[in-house]
Amino acid sequence: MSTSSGPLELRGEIDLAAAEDLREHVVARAAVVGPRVEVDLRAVEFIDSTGLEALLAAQEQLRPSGSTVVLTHVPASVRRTLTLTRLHDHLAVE
Amino acid sequence: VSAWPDGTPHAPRMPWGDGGRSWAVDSPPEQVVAIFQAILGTAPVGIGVVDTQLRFVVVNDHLAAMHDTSVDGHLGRRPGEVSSDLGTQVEPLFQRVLDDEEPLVDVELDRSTSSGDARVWRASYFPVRLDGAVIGVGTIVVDVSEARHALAQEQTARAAAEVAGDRAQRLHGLAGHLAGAVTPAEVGAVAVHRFAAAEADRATLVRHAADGLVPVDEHNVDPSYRSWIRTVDLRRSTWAAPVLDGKPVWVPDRQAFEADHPGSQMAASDPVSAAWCLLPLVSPRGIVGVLALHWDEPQPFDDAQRAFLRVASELIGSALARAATHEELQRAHDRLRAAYDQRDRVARTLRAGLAPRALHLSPPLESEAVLRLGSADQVGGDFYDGVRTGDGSWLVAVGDVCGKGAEAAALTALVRYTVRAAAMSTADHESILRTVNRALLDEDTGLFCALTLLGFIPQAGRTDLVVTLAGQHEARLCRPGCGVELVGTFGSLLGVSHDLTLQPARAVLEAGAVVVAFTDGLVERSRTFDEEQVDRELAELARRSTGLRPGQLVDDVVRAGFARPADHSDDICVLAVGHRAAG
Repeated sequence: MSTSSGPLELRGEIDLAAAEDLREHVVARAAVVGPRVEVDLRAVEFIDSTGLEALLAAQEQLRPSGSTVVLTHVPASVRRTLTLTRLHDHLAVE
Repeated sequence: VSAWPDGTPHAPRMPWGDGGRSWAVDSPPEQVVAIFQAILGTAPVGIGVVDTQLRFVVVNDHLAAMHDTSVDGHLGRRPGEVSSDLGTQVEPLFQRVLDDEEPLVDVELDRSTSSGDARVWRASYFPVRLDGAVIGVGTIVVDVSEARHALAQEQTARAAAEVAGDRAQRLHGLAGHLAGAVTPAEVGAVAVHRFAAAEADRATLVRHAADGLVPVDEHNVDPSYRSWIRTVDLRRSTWAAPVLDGKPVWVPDRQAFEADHPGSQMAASDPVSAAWCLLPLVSPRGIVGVLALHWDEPQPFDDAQRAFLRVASELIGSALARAATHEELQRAHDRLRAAYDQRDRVARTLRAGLAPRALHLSPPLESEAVLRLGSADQVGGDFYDGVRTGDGSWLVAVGDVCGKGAEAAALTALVRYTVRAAAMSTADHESILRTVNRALLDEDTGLFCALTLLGFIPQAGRTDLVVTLAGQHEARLCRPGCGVELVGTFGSLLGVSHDLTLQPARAVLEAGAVVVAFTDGLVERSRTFDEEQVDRELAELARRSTGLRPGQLVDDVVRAGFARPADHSDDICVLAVGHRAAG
């Protein structure tokens, strides 16, 4: 995971093992970048439903503060998972 | 310079050897006397001559000073009359030269001055001849005390250097062997058998544990001593307790020890040792043990020996602490491993209980299912189940609960039995899935579930199929001689939100057709086996077949899926239900 001041860039495989860290990173990111927490998925090789759920959990945690998690550069494989789980109904995808 | 008893001046006729005699004879007497007097007066050696009665006739100032007596105090007196110890030491030597008429060279005499200083003289004695006859004995005495002292110091320093070098070598060897010792027992073996056994006659190494001293190793120890060391409470011992505060205890002499500590149990348990020491084995964490060394002979325990043994005990202490840490880590690892094993056993038992052995659908339906568990810690995960609904149709569920551990396992059971309970009152998929979704949200675990419901409604010669997806891939409907059709509309993952999008899809399962459903573990994480590959495998099989069998399709998909290089840490569930072909 990248920790620069820009978008949060995810790499490799995001599964159950990485899910908890992912949620914490996204939530922590909001304190740095403001209400729009951009998560760049272009370098993600695989993300399962637990990884997406971690993003969703971060979104729910940030909602009271008015922050939004936005997924960008979503690879086809991730988009497929978002579609078949219909999590795109709950996460902003650009 | 005096004269012979008959009044003849001696100096002009002193013996100088042949060359000297010639020189003395040929030189004017007053010149010879002057030279001789200069030698007597200035040479840094004692020079004297006694006559045949052993009375001093010539004594220079230096020799007089060495004798702590004046020149006048010598002349005409025998050595024994100058001082009694001279009489004892020197007179026999004068007498011997007088008798043998042969010189005595470099005789060393141990002397002590009037102030008590120990001195060493080197003296030579030679006969004094006149016309061939011995008329007296001359002596030349040099005080070699300083040279002797310097030599002794050099020898002591050299011996100390050799001992120090030898000890440094032994410490180096000890450190090397300790570096290879991993367990406390190995450290004990090195400390006792490679080091202590060479230093002392007996040795014992004990570890300091919470419940007392634990013997680790020993060398040449009697049973009575072994019994003492196993039971002794060092804190209650007046002489040994300091070792537990990190201070060595030195007992150089048994007799003095027994006088100071009458009735000592230690002394009673070891009647042989004449000296011993207790060395604390110290680490940054405190006292980790004690090394006891015992000797048959009293020991000086000088500074060098104490420093040597202290350094050795520090090396051993560090190694023992390191080994103890290693042992603790090993025990923790073993406990963790046992816990993992136990958890795995529990997980597999739970998982085995979560999956039915078989789906007992009634003819003409037939089924086959394979559930392959991924990593053992992924308790929860995939499952399948089949139940007859209230309207007589069959409901088959293929699910995947995310998460791990007992919580996920409980959630898997919750989903499975919620489906079963709901199916008893309704065959409506959307209603069943909403019930499951509510149950998951009510649990508020943050976990969720992907679920596919397959409804089978028997009809004459066919079975009507209803497929409802909730976060799962489409079902594959395989028709013999035709190919594969995807059935299902993507629906919401359960447990995420009360707002669900679900849309049942309908199809017909004709005789000889089979519907296949699978969880995402089959196609995820693989670069060589994706959904298209699954569809190609199924289509190929369907096209070549006149009547498909569920087992055939499941075997084919599972075989193809597991032939690929992929991460199989996730569960894989593949299920097929077919309408048996007639005949």
